[in-house]
Amino acid sequence: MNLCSLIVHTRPEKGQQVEERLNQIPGVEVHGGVDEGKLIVTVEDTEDAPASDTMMSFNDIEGVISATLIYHYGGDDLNEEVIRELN
Amino acid sequence: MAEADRKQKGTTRRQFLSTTLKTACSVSLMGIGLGFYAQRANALPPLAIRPPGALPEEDFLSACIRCGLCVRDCPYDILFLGQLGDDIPTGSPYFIARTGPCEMCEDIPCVAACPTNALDHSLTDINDARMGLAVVIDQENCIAFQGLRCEVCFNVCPIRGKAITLDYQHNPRSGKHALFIPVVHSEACTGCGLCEKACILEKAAIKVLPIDIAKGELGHHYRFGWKEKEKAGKALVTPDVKHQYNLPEGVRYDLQGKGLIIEKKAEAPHAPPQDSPFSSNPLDTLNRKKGDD
Amino acid sequence: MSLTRRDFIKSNAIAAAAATAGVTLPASKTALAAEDTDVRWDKAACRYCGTGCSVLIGTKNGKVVASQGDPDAPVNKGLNCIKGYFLPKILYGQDRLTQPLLRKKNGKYDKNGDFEPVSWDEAFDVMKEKWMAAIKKGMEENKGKPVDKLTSRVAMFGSGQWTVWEGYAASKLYKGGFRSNNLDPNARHCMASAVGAFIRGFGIDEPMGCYDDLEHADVFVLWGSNMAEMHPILWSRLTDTRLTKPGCEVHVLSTYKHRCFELADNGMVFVPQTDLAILNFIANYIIQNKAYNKEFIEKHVQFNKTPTDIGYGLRPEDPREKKAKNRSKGKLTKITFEEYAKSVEPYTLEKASKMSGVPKDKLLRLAKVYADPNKKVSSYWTMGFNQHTRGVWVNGLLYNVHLLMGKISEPGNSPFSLTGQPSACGTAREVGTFAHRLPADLVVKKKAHRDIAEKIWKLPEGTIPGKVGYHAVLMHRMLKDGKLDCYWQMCNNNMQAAANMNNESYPGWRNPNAFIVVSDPYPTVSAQAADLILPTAMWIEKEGAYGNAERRTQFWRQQVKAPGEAKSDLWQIMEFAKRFKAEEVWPEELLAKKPEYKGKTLYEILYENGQVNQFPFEGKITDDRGNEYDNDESAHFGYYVQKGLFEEYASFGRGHAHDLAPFDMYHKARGLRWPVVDGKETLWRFREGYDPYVAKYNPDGKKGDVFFYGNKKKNGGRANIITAPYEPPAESPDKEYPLWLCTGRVLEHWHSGSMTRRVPELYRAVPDAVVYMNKKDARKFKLRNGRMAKIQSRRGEIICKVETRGRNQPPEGLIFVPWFDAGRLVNKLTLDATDPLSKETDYKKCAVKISKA
Repeated sequence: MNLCSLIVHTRPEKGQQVEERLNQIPGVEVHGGVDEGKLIVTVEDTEDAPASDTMMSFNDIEGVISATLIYHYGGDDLNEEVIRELN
Repeated sequence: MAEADRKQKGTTRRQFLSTTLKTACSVSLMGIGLGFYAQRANALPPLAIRPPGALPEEDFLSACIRCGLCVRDCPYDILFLGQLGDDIPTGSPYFIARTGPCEMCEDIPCVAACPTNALDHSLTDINDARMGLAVVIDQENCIAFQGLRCEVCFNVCPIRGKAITLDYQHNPRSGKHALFIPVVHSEACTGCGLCEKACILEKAAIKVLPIDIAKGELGHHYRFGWKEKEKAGKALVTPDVKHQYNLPEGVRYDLQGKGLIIEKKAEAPHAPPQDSPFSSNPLDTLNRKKGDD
Repeated sequence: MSLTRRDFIKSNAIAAAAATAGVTLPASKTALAAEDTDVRWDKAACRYCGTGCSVLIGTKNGKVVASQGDPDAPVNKGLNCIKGYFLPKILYGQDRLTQPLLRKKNGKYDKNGDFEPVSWDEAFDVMKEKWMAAIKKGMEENKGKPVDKLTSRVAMFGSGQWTVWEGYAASKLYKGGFRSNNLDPNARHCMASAVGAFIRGFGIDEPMGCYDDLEHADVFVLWGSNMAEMHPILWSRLTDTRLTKPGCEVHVLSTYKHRCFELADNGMVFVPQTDLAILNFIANYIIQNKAYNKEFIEKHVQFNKTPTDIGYGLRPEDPREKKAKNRSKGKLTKITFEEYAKSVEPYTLEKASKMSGVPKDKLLRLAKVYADPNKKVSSYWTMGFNQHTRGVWVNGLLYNVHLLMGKISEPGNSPFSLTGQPSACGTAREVGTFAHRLPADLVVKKKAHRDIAEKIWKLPEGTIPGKVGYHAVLMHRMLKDGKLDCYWQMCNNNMQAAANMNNESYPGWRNPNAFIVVSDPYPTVSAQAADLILPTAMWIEKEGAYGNAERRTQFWRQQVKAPGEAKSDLWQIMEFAKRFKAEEVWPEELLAKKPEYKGKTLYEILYENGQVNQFPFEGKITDDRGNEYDNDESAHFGYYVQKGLFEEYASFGRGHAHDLAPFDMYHKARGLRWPVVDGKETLWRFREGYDPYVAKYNPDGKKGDVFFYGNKKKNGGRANIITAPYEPPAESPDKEYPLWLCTGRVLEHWHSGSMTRRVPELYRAVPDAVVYMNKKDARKFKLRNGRMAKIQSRRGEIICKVETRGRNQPPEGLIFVPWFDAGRLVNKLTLDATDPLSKETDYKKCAVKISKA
């Protein structure tokens, strides 16, 4: 199972448009940076596509200047093991 | 939680953290991070609090053998061990007050479990523990300072009425309400963190900090005169003489207290209600005599 | 909440990317930006206690997004307690009920089935069927009986948290429509003893003073009231006076040490029930020292005695009831001052101190402040007095002390009964939703009073039954005994609140013959024990009015819509009335008096009567700033429902010393204290100059003189001093059950916790009920602070955590457990003993034992 974070550079005025497009892709979430044109994005494996394919597809989106991988986790299944109870 | 579970929790977490780190190291940014951790291994982050009876941080770290027995014996399961990658020296025990404060067991099982005296066995009364010190750190957002009736920190404090007290003050804004200001007293606060956990704000306005961060220190030369006098039980030098004053009749002077006091007339006049619709005092009309003789 | 590995890694991943990009994540930014643009602000009364603080509610896009204390409200000046701070969150608990739920098996209602969602239509169909069967049976039983002997098999258990018009609509439906006086509010558990004493003492309900006494008194005395936690904002005012007024003193009496003792100059912990002896001692002290106000007594007071040995309001077969000579009797007999003086003579300082366990010097200090003619004394009490098997007596004994000194009805001199609920006064008492009452202090027993109500309600003469209905505790007994078939609970949580749950409440509700309906916003303990649950629109999801403890009536507009299909109690009551035709629920001879009602529904008769429906609704409510608000009930029924109900209700009291202002005025004012005459509020009642009714009823009186006009017909306008002795409680500790159990509340939670426990911050602050106990007792019973203990009474057991160092510090021999916790139902332990006069349960005294769990 893979979980990655990326910075997706866009033209600031296109940020919102790119955000919308990205959010439509399964396994992708945008967490911020829209106004700055540096979108903070996480990508996870989905049933249809591994994270790597999903990331490659970013370059096809209009307004995307570049996508840089920052963080990659690849390991055992992450499913819902509780590591700490928060109150 | 059963003991087995807890152990499992520890291992799994260590495993996955090392996994993440390995991948992260490939990114240069995180590589720098590791060096950074190593550099400040003895500086405890301010929100990580050591268990009761912990020796001063440097002594503690040299005495603690990272055995985890205190974590095992904590009945409330609040203690964690520092992990590789945390800001806390690996394997050393700590708790986070906001999420899991010390419940202050009377028998202090964590101290009893410590094989090396890193948690000082001479601590037998939990009330003597000094894990940290609670500080009302944000007086702008603490709603008690605005006159709202909260006082949750005061209410939950296990050293009732000693570690946190309420200072009653007039609320000049509303004019007719009081402020109930929480004040922490370091001579009684154990740093258990129940107040920080219970604080109802989004982010706690009262926080437990390690004592060396929390406390100011008076200039070594200086003493508070009234405290020294109280300690000694008498004036440290020859007591003052009795003063006398030229004063008109009905006026006194209280040197140590209120200063000039203008005596009220023997019969206290009844203040007429300010919004009274009638001129004379209704109480006088009622003619309250004590009996008929 | 739990953090999973996925969450953890994801947040690391996001943080790493954000750090690299130098981007600040927007969470806090958007939250700040959202706050103050396009927020619509409007006022509302706080949902919780009887203090009656005002709050400002900020609404945006149909959701409450912000709140603040109302800086212009005279009660709280912008302040709130911690519960008020989180008020909007009570609307948004995750488990709000949004559709009716009925117990079903195989697609049909079944008492033993599981809850399934149903439509409102189906819910009302099943209800109607059950109600009709019960009403029919009741009509059979009532055949040939005169109107003052009528009984009914349908009941409603209402609330001091109902809005004024909800209580009024319910009273009309039950007393005027179903001809059932089985309507009682949860205020029975809370204020009934205070009411009993007001009526017996002054002939009219509710305090003579107001909160301004808090600034005008020299001395405050608290009797069985933990005001510091239960009336936090009033306590803040009291504290301020103590701090800023030279010579101000605070005396606190309780059966355990609580937060008020921190401020007390004279704190007294007394043996439960001996407040009766202490008060008689104070009266005796005043008389012995000839400190009493002779002129006042001669002009304004009548002395009386009341029957003694009156039992404990238990079931008649209980040996304690069989033994009682004057079971439930309360008729007053006039006596002389000398006889009164003689009756309190046995209560010497020695005796009072010995019985109560309070040191003599403390008692003497207390007696002296009452006896000092130059000290203005305000006494406050809450449940310590009211939840008392001699509640009416003990309320009265305090009035005796104030009346002996003439310390009443003027700024600073006030015996003041604090209420626990936001509208115990406004709805339960003023509207009269009790089994024996009608609006504006009228009672069902008196024909003349029923006539007034029937005339205003345009009902045939003899519609309202003259027999007092079942009170709260009796309802549960009647359910269990099969004499009551249908029970509708609204706006409270009586399964958790009523005493002796194991033996009375639960078996009553689950009696196969009974049909129980619970209207509530949340799945409470009551809802769990019900047969049909109706989802309710709460607080500012409807237009509302509350009346607080100082006679202040406050209004609010509907701010947001209720979730899903939830409907207000008002909608539920009026809509249910549409299901009944007059001829279905009234006997022929009654209908014959108003034949034009034949074929009409109770809804048409009671609400489309030309009065309730007289104000048109324009589709929106608009305030004077042009903001628009919904009013879902008015939109549904087609007229301004709340205004119509209020104006009809107000016609009961106008001109009779219960005057309410015109409806629209309340939407502008931060509450008005009744009687409101010519637009002017009344702060202190019964004194000329302050109260316009004194001059009206006593035109020859002197300026500034007192006239207790509630008793003008009975005894020429005198207040009643009523002597009553000490009598023991229903159950006291013994060898087997060696501890007193006292129950109550904490600051952070309100009542049964159904709202406050759904506010995460409040829940985190005080998650569970604990047993507060003395360290020595803990040692004695081998318990440890923080560990679990089992508490047992003759009626049940619960398990909870021991707290020996908490905010409440009981003396040895007494434990205190709060009742907010649905997970630890302390009312499994309590005894359903009541004051035989007020029928209010004594939740403060029963015997228990405790051991390691």
